[in-house]
Amino acid sequence: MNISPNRFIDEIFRSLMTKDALSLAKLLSFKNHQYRSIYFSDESLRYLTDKFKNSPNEIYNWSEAINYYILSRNSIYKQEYINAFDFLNKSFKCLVDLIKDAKDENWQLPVLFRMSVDLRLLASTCDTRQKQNYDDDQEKDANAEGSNNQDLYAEKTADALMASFRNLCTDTRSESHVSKRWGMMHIVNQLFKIYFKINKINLCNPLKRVIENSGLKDLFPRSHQIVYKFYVGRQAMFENDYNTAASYFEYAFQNCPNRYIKNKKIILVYLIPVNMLRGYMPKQDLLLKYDLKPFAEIVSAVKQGNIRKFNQDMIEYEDFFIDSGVYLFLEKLKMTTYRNLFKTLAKLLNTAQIPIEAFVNILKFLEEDDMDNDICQCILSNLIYEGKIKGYISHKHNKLVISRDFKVAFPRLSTINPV
Amino acid sequence: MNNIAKYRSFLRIFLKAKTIRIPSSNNLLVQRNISVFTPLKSNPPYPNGTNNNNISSDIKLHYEKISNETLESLTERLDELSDDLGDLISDEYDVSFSNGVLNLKLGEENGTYVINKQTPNLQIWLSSPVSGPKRFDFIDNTWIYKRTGESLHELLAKELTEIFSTEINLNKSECTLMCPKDEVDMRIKNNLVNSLEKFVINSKIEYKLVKEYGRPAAGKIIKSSELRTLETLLKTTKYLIREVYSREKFDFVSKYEFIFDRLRAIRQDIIIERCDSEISNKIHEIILCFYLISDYKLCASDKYDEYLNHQHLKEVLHLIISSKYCTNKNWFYSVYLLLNLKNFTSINNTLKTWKSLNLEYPMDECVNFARAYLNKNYVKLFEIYKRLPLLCQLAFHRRIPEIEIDMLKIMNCAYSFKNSIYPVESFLKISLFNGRHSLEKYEDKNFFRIDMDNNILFSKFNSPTEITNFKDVRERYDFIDEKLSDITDVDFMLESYCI
Repeated sequence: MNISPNRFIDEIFRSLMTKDALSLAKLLSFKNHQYRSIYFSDESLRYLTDKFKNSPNEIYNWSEAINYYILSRNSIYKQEYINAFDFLNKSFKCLVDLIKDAKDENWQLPVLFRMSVDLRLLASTCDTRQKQNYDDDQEKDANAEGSNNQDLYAEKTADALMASFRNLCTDTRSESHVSKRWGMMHIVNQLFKIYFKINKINLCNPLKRVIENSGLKDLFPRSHQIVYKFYVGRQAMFENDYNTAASYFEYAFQNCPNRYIKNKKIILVYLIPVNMLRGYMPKQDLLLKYDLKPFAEIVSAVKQGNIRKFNQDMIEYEDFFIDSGVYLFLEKLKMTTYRNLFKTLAKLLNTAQIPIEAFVNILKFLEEDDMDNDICQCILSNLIYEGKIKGYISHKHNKLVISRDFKVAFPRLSTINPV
Repeated sequence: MNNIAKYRSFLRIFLKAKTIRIPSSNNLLVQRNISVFTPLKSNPPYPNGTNNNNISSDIKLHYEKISNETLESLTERLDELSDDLGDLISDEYDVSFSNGVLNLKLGEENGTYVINKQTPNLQIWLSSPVSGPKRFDFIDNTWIYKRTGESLHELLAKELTEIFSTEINLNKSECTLMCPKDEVDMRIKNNLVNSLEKFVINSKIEYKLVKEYGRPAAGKIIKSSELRTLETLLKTTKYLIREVYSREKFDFVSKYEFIFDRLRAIRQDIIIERCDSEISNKIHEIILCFYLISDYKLCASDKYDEYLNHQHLKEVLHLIISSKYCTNKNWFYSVYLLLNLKNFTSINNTLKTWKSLNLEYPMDECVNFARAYLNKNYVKLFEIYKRLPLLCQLAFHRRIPEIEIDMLKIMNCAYSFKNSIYPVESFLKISLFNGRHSLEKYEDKNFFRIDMDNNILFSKFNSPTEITNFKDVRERYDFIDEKLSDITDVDFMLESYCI
């Protein structure tokens, strides 16, 4: 059902009057389907201006922000997304100023949150469109301008968000219950999302430091913390700090309410590889519950030490893994697969001195075609170095020498600290 | 290419150079970076003791001169423009410059530009009927609007282009010499000629000067007469590689530093022109190959600044990859991949982009190489390295010590037991070392010991010294040198890097 533009404006004023930021945020949200195709005619714009004119100062302060917002809305209706972005960006800036100027108040924050999300999403739409246009034009006009900066709008958004973040940070004088600092984490989360997308993860570090030192770290709203931990976890993952990453993901997964299945699944996409690298294999029913078949396949290949299946699965689900950004981490699991295979083989041969040829033969059988004695020794060396096999290689006899006790020779993976 | 040249000279003669060129989209950041680097040690001292690094103090001293020159030359150029454009402009078009204020009247419809000096701030202010007011600071020899990084000339050219619907370029290049005449005169007069620019022909001394990088900024703005045309730049690049690079009786380091500096000036000119074309891309490709091959040849020299080479390499590579005229993207993506193997994040993200590309040679080999790197499979890694094309081998060469150190650490751990021996011969087979003598540098650092029968003794208890400078252990490989004897360096750089 479509609501009339004037009713929409009335609603805005009602929420402003009652300082009901939650309703206002909901009203302004671009996601709100009720107002999907709303368009403000000149008449409605005049209606809006008149209403503001007759309002007390504290409401009149909102006029710029709201006006720009309405213009943005109209541009969206006309599908002029780049104009829409510029207007929304202006509206956002006005909102930031307005919040900055409001002393000892923080009720407006939910509106800021909503708009920061919408701004980011709109920017991403603009960037994708720019890129498409660029690709289409490329053949026609090799000199097309402004093509190189693919993330122009994302970066503009990041600038706007940074400005608002600085404003929120500096509100140190207000008392806790009206402090604007409560909004910091949400803005940081939006910035994280942008930085991860445009591949500037190093820019996250200073933001992370501010949050860690804010003294509010564990007091921010739960939903903000979940997102925050998710991104900090991913960062730790890239720095090969798997234990830290796992603890962040664990928190995010446990605290994310069950009804957000999609979010939980995304967290799992990262949590699972990290845990596998730490030596914890996920249960199949969990993977099935969240519809993560590619992982289920890989997990079974790793567990069995079936290197052929592992290689095949990596090729088959390559797209999925690359898109979710875990491809390289899974590639690392190849070593674990080798270890499991060697363990099985050692058990079968039941001897403490295993000829390297035995390994080479089984690997060749499993279609590792370019395998030879030296490469195999190299794999074993790595496993020994990482502590996944306890033993040594005798080059002279071309043998791997391990303890007679398999539990000692192949320690549980979860007990090994990654090098 | 020839056509363009003809077209251009035709225009220059008959139309007073209405250069048809759209400001290219090259990333501005690159330009910013250039001034950050310290100039090469071999740079001759500048006559008045200034260098490119303290422009900020220059501007304080020379603001009057620089700003006046800027506005005067701009006035002149805008005046010329009225001739160039002919019928396109209205009768009201008028340029005037007095008391530090430049007025450009475009007529009623289009309004008036006001450009004026702002002495207290050391800025130039612009008031545009199109985009409103802006303030420009003097950075990198030109006036820059700090918020967007755009230069005054660029911005003006862009807006005028839109107003007149004709390409207008205010920074046009005119110089067709390898070195602008003013610089030649000044340097000969002040005896600032590099010995590589002197030639003795029939017992007579002849000078062949090439524009040097970062000429004194004081009182200088970039004049079009000092900006070399693209054709000239290509010619100069080729001259440097063909003639200077192979000159005898000079040691390689000084030749390298000289060419490095002159190439930097060439890149600077390309950046100012904002140009992305077949020619500029060709120049960049040559420069990239030069960086790579010099890095390899100088790998053990302590007189050479590896870091600077690497930084410039990355910049040029970035330009090549984002150029629309690069026809061998696969080769340069390969180089990119090899240079960035350590950076997990960037590989992961680039994998996404590359998925859409077909993995053609040599990308496919490089991806396999990356896999081996990821799993620390040094045996496989070295095996692949040996069969990579020359360009890729050169690109990864600086990383090899890292792999070797890892390899030795792992082997020390895996082959550690009493009486463990590993024949040097077998070891050489799985590594890249040229021979027994190459192992000494690691032996000296206690990575392992070698016994009388030429066996390496690995042990957990070897405690190697940390290697902080890879130069100590980098070495040239026979198999690469062999390739380089089949094809000369010069041919490799100029013609055929795809081998």
